[in-house]
Amino acid sequence: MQSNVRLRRMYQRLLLLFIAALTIIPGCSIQLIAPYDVDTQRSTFECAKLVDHFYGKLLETDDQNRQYAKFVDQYVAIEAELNALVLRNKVRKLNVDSTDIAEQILKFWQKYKARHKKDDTYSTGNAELERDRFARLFAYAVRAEDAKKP
Amino acid sequence: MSFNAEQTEKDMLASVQAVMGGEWPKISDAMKQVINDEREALQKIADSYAAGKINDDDLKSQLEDEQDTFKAGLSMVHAVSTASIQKAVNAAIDTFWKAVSAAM
Repeated sequence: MQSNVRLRRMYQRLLLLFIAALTIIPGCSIQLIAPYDVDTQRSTFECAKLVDHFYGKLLETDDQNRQYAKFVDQYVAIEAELNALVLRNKVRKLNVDSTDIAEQILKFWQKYKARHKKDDTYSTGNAELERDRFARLFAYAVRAEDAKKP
Repeated sequence: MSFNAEQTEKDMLASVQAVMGGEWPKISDAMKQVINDEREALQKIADSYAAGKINDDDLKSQLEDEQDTFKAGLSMVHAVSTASIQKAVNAAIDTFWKAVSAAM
């Protein structure tokens, strides 16, 4: 009988402690995805503009004048920006989806750069399709970041 | 005032439903965007090939790249869904906390 009373008091104290804990942790919430980052969003838009500008200039250049050497500076500069975008996403916790998208953008950039270097030209057909692909990928990156807004 | 666990559970569920009701169109739209984008991209590739703008090797490469692009699109949908679930769960937690505060 006495042990039952002791047990009941112990449970009551535990319940009170639990309730007290809740009162000092107001608005406790769970985090399943990284919070929105405006700087990452700005970087994404900036990278999108750089890549689109690159393709715009490429497509305005005659087929015979699309040697890799004429574009190498732009390739290097843009790859550095894309590397930074991947890093910016990678260092954030709970940010796997956005990191995946940024890494895919970088992989395509490196793939098309390697092909341009190997062929020493860039066909209009591939350039048009790949410009469109990058535009879609950047839109996905922006939308994934936007979703994180509270 | 005493804590009504049954009512609180109903209220928490209602919070989740209310939030997901608002969030579902975002998830649905995201998925529709990815599928629509893919359909258009494949059409453009087919048109380019038919017009002779890309050769057989390019076609194969473009189709492979579209697979990876589609996966990236699914990552975007996953991010949208995860964010929505987070909002719904936190709405339920908020409802619970308010019920506990009211009972004290």
